Amino acid sequence: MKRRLHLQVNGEDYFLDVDSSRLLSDLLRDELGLMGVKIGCGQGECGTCTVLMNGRAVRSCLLLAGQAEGSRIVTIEGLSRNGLDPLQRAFIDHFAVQCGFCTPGMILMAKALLDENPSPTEGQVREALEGTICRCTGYSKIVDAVLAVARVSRNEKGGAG
Amino acid sequence: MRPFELLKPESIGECCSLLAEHGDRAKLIAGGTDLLIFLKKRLLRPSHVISMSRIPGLDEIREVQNCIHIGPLATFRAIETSEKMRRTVPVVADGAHQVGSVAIRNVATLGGNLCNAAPSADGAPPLLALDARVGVAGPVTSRIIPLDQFFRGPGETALERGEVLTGIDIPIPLSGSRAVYLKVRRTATDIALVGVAVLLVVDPEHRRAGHVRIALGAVAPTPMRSRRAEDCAEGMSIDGDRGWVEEVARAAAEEAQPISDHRASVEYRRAMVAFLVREAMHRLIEDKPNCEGGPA
Repeated sequence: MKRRLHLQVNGEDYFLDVDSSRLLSDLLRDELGLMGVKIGCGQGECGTCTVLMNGRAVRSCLLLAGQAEGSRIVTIEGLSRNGLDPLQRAFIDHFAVQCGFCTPGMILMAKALLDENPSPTEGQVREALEGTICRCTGYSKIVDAVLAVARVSRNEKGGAG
Repeated sequence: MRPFELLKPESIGECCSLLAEHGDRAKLIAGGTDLLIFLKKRLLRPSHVISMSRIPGLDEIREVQNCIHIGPLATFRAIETSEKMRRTVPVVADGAHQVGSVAIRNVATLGGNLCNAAPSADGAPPLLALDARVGVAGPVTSRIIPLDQFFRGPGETALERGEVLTGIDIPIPLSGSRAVYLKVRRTATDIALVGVAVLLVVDPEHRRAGHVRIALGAVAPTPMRSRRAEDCAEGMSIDGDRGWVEEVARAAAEEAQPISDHRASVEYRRAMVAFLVREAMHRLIEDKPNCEGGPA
């Protein structure tokens, strides 16, 4: 039971014949080779499968590919098409990466937060990252990295530093 | 997952016909955050999954006369960030805010939450406290069901074959009403092991609690109202001695019917019902529903 599916992923348009029961996470990984989308718990509770769908953070392991019909999807690979995204640079600079498994999900959740709220408080950053789990870092440096990007963009706009 | 066909009808009528045609072999998908888990675990094995996403207008949040109307596909994220909801029925936005994580709330819907009918549904206690109603459409007729008659058991609703939820209607509460939803959970994104919504209207002249509603989640086969606790609170003065709050909390804990499971024991759940009802009451008496810090 295949359906013709159109989606835009990382700026490219795709027209694919896909089984109705195919998961978005599996389509992104297996059909499109985007391994930055990870499968951790498979139940939407760890955040490693996070992608942006029409600008919003979603759990791709809990979406049918068919639910993404006509959507604009961004994976972690999509953030570095023209050099590293400021969040990626900040994660490196602040040592916010150890094993790296949670990193794509963390960065995409942070990106969704900053796109909506460019000047979050630390509490808002922590709240936005709830449900995206890191076993290695203890989260502090991840939070530091996100706040650093927020600070830079605030300074660039000439706001109160 | 067992392979299935995904159908996307373009009208409520078409959707009802498909559901009536396929009966138990079809499942509706809204956001899918509960359904996908059942499918992955093979707890459900439908041959057809029916999405309402192509039907226009189902995600609206509208103010109509003295009611808030929420479409069945409105996401929890839309509800928690809605200026209309925060202004008129903030306790529903509170409940929405406490569901899962942001990523789940971007996709999960209030309509799906109610139709999934988990006893712990965070959408339910605030709506019960507000005397909400749901609109239901079938292949031939449509009807309105008060929410406290909608839940029939764990995972079971009053929906009959071929019927879909078409909306949630909430009478906008009287001015002077105060409400809060509190939940206890093990981790930041867990379901409730106890959920409590309390609403009361303070009569400004006599400063008494009126129109008290106390709704409990995760402590009975369905989300429930604790009418005995409500009776204990009705008419009590919010100034002076608050000893009555303890009776209200105790009545709610006694009326709850929790079970022991991997999240919590019966005893813990009863204790948490009392704790949350007490906490909610103190916050409403002080008119600080979102206060930080410990219990009063």
